[in-house]
Amino acid sequence: MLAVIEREKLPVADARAGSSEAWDVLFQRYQLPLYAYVFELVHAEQPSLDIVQETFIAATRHIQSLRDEDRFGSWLFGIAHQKCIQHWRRNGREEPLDADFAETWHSTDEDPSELLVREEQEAEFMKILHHLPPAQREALLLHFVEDFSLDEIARITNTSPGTVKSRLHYAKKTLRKLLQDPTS
Amino acid sequence: MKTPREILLARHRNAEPRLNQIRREVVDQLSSQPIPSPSMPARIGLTLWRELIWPCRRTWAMLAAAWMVLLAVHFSQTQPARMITANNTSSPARIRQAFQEQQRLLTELIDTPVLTSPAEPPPPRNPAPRSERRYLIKSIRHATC
Repeated sequence: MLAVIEREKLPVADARAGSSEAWDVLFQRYQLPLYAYVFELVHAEQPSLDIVQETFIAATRHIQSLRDEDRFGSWLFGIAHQKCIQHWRRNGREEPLDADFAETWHSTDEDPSELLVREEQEAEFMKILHHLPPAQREALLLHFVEDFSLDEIARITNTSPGTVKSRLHYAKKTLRKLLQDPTS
Repeated sequence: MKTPREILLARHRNAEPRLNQIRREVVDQLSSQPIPSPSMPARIGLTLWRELIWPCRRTWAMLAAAWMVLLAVHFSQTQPARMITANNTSSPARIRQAFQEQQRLLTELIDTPVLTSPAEPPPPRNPAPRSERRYLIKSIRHATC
């Protein structure tokens, strides 16, 4: 029986060889973070479940295109990102994730540290998260949910690491500010 | 205090039964229809790509670029030489003409009567007085003996 918790020990090679048991382990590991990521972008339960299913099926079909087995997670989230864009296109909506905003990263700015949220602020945290611009929200979700690096987030979202850094910075700044002073 | 990850995952944990169902469906489909493994050449190609080319893609790209430059230089140098050779190359008619000319010259050389007369025998020498005399004396003596 394959048992996997850490990212490094994922049975990606077995899955590539066609082991359904390995796929089960991989999907079990990623199903909830993937769903959380998709749901927070799409904001609808059934479409989110459909996207997760489509992502799983696409992963089994295209596993041979995965170059680096250590990056299975970011590869899977990359597929989900594409599925979200397809979902918006099907529904005739503009792709909010592509609506980039012009901002620059100032090196003098404070480097954002990990956020910790008090229990009574959880609802507030989610509310603030929903009010962030979609591109910032996506970068933040990928950072929070899977702790992906800047490069990995850039690869998932088809943007540059600089843009991701900038989005994360502003998103965290907004979150921290609103969590400290909800009236603002 | 909770991390945002904990908050996010806890918020969506109620979707887990449905996610489990989706997972089982996809995995069952996989079990019933095993993924067609790529053919041997494709697998070798993929392995080569993954193990050999992709990790040092920049080096390979630079090598390829260097080869392209070398090829470009090589062709740019051989092209004028080839053009010159092409210009110098005689046409078949010209070759034939030259050959005929050579044949004509050869025939002329063979058929033309020899202008210079064959070597005449050397004119009789006037016998040198002393040596001739000695020879005559010797022959007479021999005859008389």
